[in-house]
Amino acid sequence: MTLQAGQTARVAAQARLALRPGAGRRVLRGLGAGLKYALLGLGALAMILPFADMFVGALRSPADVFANPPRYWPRDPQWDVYARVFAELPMLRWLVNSVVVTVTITTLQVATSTMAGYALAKYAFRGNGAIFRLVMGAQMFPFFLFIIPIFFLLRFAPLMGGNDIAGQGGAGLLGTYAALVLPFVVTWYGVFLMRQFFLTIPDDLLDAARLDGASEYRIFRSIMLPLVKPAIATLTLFSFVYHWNEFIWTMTVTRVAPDLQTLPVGIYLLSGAFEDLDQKALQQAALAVSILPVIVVFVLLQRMFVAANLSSGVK
Amino acid sequence: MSPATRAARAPGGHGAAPWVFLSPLLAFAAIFFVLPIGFSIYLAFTRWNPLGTPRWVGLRQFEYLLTRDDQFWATIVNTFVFAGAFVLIGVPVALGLAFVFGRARGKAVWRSVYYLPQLTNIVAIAYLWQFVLDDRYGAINRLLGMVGLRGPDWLTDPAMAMVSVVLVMIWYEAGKNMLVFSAALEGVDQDIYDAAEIDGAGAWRTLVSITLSIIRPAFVFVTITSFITGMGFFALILAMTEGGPRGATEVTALYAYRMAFEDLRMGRASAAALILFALIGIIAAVQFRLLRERT
Amino acid sequence: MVPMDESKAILPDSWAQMVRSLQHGILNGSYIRVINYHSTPRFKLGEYERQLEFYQRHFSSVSEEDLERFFATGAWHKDKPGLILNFFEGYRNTYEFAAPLAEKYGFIGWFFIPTGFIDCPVAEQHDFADAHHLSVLSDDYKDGRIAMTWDELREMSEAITTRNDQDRIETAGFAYAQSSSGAGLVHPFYAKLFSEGGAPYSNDKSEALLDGPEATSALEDMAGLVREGIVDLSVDAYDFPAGGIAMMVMANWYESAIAEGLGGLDDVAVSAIPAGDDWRTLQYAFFMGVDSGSDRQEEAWALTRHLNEARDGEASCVGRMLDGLGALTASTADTAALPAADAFTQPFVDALAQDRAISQPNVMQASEIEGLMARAIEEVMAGEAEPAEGLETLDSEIEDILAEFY
Repeated sequence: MTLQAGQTARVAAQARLALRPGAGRRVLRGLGAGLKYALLGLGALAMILPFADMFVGALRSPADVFANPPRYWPRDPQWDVYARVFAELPMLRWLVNSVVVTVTITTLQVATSTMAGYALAKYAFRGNGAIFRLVMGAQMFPFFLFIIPIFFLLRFAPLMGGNDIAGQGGAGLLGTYAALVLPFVVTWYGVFLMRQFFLTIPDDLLDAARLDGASEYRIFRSIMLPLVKPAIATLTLFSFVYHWNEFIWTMTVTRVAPDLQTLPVGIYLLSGAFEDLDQKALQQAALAVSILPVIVVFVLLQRMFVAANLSSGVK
Repeated sequence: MSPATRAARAPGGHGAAPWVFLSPLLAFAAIFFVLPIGFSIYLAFTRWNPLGTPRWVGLRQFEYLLTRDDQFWATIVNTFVFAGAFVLIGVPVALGLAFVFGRARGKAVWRSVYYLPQLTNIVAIAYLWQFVLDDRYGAINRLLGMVGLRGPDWLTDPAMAMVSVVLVMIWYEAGKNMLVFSAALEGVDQDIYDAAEIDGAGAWRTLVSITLSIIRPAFVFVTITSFITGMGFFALILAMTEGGPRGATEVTALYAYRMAFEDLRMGRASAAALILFALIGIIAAVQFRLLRERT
Repeated sequence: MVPMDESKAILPDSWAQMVRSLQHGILNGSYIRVINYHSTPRFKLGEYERQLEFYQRHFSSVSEEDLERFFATGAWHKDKPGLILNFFEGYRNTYEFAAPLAEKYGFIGWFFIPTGFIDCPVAEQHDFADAHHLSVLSDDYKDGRIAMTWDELREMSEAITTRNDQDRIETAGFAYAQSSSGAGLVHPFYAKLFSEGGAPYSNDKSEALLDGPEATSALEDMAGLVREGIVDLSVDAYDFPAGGIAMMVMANWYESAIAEGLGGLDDVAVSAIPAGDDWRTLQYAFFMGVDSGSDRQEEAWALTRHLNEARDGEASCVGRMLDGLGALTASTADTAALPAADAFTQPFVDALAQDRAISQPNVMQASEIEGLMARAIEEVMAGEAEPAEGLETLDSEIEDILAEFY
C-alpha cells in the first residue's frame, strides 16, 4: 500500500482498536506479560542453576559426600574450602599466568587491530580491498585447522629455544609465554570491528590534520585513537573474556609446561586429582574462583560489552 | 598542489603509512595463517610421528580415513548431528528469547544473567554440568527423583550423552545469539507491525513474512556462525565427555585432535582436519547462498 | 555382678570403667549379641532350623548400618534386641545351608572369608583346613571341595547390591574402574586372557590374536557379569574408597587411596583374581627416560640416577614415593631397604614370585591400541556387540596398526 494509504489505514485501525471491548484486551495483555516473564524467568533459572549448584557443592564436607545416600545440602558448610583452594592448588600461579597472558594478548590485539583497521578504513591504496577480503575470509577458518601446524611452527622456530638455524635440536618457542601469545597477536574480528568504527569518522578531520602538517603516525595516535575509545573498550573486553577463557590452544602448549598453565587449563589437567569423591568440593571451589574475575569485570562494564556483539551481527 | 597534498603523494609520506600500520597484520597473516595452512596441507600427505621425520605417503591417509576408518565416519555423523541440532534448536530458541527479551523490563538484569555462560571458561561449564547431570546424585535427577521419576542417564547413555552436549551447547550460546537477535529486532519499526495487523495478518504470518525478512542479515549471521561453531567446537565435548561414552559424542575435530596429540599421527590428523574443513566450507557456502536468495 | 561400691575398692580404674559401662549397657538394653558359627554341616540342619526360629521370635537382624548407628548413638533402635549371626572360615556348607536358612528367617548373615582358603586348590583344601585348625566336622562333599568358590561368593555379593528408588545402584557388588585410558577394563581383560593361556599378539607382533578362543572366553566372562546384573557400567570402581562397592579388580598402587577413603585397611581383603588354578595376572612398569634431542642430557641423566638410587641403606626417592602409594619398585636395592610387604601388598608380591604376573605387551602405538581395546570391550559389555564379532573387528583394527611397524 502507498504511504498515504498506510497512514490513513493506521489511524483507522487505531480508532478501531480503541473502540474494542477493553477488558478482553487487557486480560490478553496481562496473560502475554505473565507468559513473557515466565519464559524469561525460566530461561534465567536455567542459566543460573549450574552456577548455584557449583557454589553449593563447594561447601560440602566429606561427611556429606560419604553419607548414604550423599547429601545435597551441606550440613556443615565448609567455608574454608576457598582458602584450601589457594593452599592446595597452584591457584596463584594459574591466576598470574591468566592475567599475564590475557593482558598481553589484549594489549597487542588492540594495537594491531586499531592500526590495521585504521589503515583499511582511511587509506586508499591498491590492495586495500584484497586485504579486507582476507580479513573477512580468515574469520571463516575454524581454529582446529591451525592447532597442529602452528604447534610445530613454534617448535621448529629457527634460533629459538635451543634450535639451530634449521629449527632442529631444541624446543623452539614451546614452553614460553610467546607460544601462548603469538598465535593471537592479530584478531581478524578486531580488525573488522575497528575498521567499521574508523569508517564512521569523517575524513575532514584527517584532511584538516594533514593540512596542519601532522605526520601520519601523529594523526593516528593523537587524533584517531581517542575518537574510537568506545570501540577500543569493547574490543578490550571482548578479547579479555575470550582469552581469559581460552582453553584448547593453551592446554596443548602448556600440558608439559605446568609453570605456564592458566586457570582453566590448570583445573582441567588436575581433574585426575579430583577424581576422589571427597575432592569434588575442592574442584567446585576452584571452578568458582576461575569464574569470578570475569564476572566481576563484566558486571561493572556490561554496557560496552554487549555493544561489541551487536555491531558484529546486525550488519 | 598544496604542500599537504604533495607531502601525501610523496613516497615515504602517507603512501607508506598504511603499509606500516598493516605490517603486523601482514606478518601475522604470513606466519600464522598462510604458512600453517600450507603446512597442514603438506602434512596431510605424509605419515609423521613427531619423534621422527615426515614421510611422504601421498593420498594414503585420506584413503584410510575415507575407506577403512569406521570411526572417522561415525565422528562425521556425530559432528553433523551436533551442529545440526545446535542450529535447528538453538537458533529458534535464541530468537524466541530475543522476542521476549525485547518486550521485557529490566533488560540490564536479564542481559547479565543470560550472558553468564559466555563469560565462563569452557572447562568450568563442562564440569558444572557434569555435576548437575550426574546419574544418581546430580541436581536434575535428584529433582526428578523427588517426584518419583527416574531421570535419564544423561552422560552415561550413548544417545543421551549427545542430547546432553547439544543442550549444554545451546545453553552456552543462547545469551549471545539472543542479544544479536534482539539488537536486530530493535531495528524493526513498530509501524510495520501495525500495518500488518490492520491487514489482518496473524501472529505467525507476521513473524515469518515480516520479522524474519527484516532481520534476515542477523538471521543469516547467527545461523551460519552457529553452524561453523558447531562443526568445529570440541572443547566442550573434550572436557565433558571425552567423546564418550564409547565414542557416542566424538566429533571429528576432537577425533583429529586426539589422533595428533595422543596417538601422535600428525599426518592423518591433518588429513582429517582438512576433510572436515572442506565439509564445513561447502555447506557454509551452500547455506549462505540459500539463505541469501529468498528476498 | 559386683555391686558398684565394692568394685571401686577391688578393681583397677579401667576395669571399673568397663564394668560400669557394662552395667549401664545391660540395664539400658543397649548391647548386641553375637553368635559365631563355623562349619554348618547338613546333619545339624534340624538343630539350626530350631535355633533360627528362636532367634526370629526374640531378636532382630543387624546390618552394617544398624551397627554403625548403634555405635554412634549408644542405643539400639529396634524393638527386639540385636543379634549378629557370624559364619567363619568360608566353608562350602555355610553357603549351601546356613545362608539360605538365615535368609529364610530374615537374618543378615555376617560371613568372614579367609580368601586363602577359598583360593586354595580343591585337592589341598583338607590339608589347608588341618594346617589352620579348621574343624570341618563332616564329610558332606565327596569331591573334597569344602571351601566356597568365587561363583558362590559372587552370588552372595549379588545380595549386597542395593538399588535406590529410581532403580539405580546405590551399593554395588562388583565394579570396574573407569579411566580415560580404559585401563580399568583392559587390564582385567589381560589378566583373564593370560589365565586362559592366551596372548594378545604373536611372538613377532605381526599378528593380533584377539579373535582367538581365549580372548573370546575372557571377554564373555566380563560381558556375562554385566548381563547378570552383577556389574553396572555406570558404577566406577574409583568410588571404592567411598565404601559403595564391595569388590573390584585393581592394582596395588591404589592402596593408599583406599586406606585414606575407608580410614584404614581393616575392612579390605586382597586376593588373586579368581580364574582357576592356572590363574595369571598383569604386570606393568613405568620407566624414566631422557629425551635424546635434549641439550641437557647429562644433567637429566644425573637427576634420574639421583632419584632412583638407593643410598645409605635407605630407599631411593622414587622407591619411597612408590611405597607410599602402595606400589612396588623394580629396584632390588629399594626392595631391600623398604619394609616388608603388608597384608594388602603380599598377594601381589606372591603373584610376581610365582611367575604368574605377565608383562603388559610392549608394542608400537600401544596406547592407541589399548584405547581401541577399551572401546571394544566396553561396547561388548554394554551389550552393543557380541564378544566374537567385537573381537574380530578389534583384531583387524589392531592388525592394521601392527602392519605399519612389524
